Amino acid sequence: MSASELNSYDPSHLDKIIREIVSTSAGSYFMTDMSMHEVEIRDDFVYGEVMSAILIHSTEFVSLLKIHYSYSDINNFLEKSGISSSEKPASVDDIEDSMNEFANLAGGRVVENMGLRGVRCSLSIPVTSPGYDEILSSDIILAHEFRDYFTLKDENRSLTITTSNKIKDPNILTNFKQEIETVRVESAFF
Amino acid sequence: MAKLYVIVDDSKIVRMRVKAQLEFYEVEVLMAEDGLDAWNQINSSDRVPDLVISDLNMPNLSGMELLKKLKSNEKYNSIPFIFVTSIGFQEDMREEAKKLGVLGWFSKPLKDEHIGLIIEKVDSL
Repeated sequence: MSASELNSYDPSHLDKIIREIVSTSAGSYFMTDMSMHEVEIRDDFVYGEVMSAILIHSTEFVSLLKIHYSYSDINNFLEKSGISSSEKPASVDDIEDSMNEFANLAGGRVVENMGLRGVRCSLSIPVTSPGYDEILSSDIILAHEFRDYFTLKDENRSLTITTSNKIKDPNILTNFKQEIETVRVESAFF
Repeated sequence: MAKLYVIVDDSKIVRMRVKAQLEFYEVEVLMAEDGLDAWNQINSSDRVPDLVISDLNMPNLSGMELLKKLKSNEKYNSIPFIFVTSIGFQEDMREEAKKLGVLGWFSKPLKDEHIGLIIEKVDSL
């Protein structure tokens, strides 16, 4: 594949959109400031004990968003918001429910952002999966398929986010480059 | 008598979080895991709730379907109803909800100041 073909599918704009949305969503959902870090070892295959995955899809592109985490970190977040305590830790089901809700929230905001860019997307139901399926089935580089990896950290707790993106219509890349008004309307009384 | 609020969401964590946020205001809370559960609980309660706070997308009976059921029932059609959604409230849904007499909508997660606004609004009705 030529360099120009690869460059024509520059993934940086979509990566930036998703990174910002997931980071902001994590801050409001976990009620804390989380800093973003690059994942140094990208072929580690395991980024957490478990993951919550959600699919954002449209006719022009597909993005699989995975949030990798450990049960103890999320229990710690839930303690902070008063949902669990050291005497009464959250159950595995509660933690998975909480992270699926987070995936739904972050995915929903990506859908909302894409709507502002004129891209109508749908969102799947979030699912929980063991955290070790980051194995790539092929080492062939496809220009229209790309991945991103980053970690959000707060004190001793962290989440690693991986995305697998597939561009079905290259014209969509122009929409990702648009500057849009990103101030969200969070409420309204009629 | 304390006001009775119904929280409807298929996520237990969301229900627990909103319940914890409401504790400060000393309201009684009914928690339902979807629209159908909410409908059944409202029907079997001896009180008419003062507010329903509901998610939009849920199994069995969605938030919009619950709203329609309540609005078409003489006993419950004046219960104030608020949607809380992960995906922003799309224009067509917003118009439909408005026509059905929804009080308002909020995006998730509900912040403490949102709860304050909701309480204030319901108290003013």
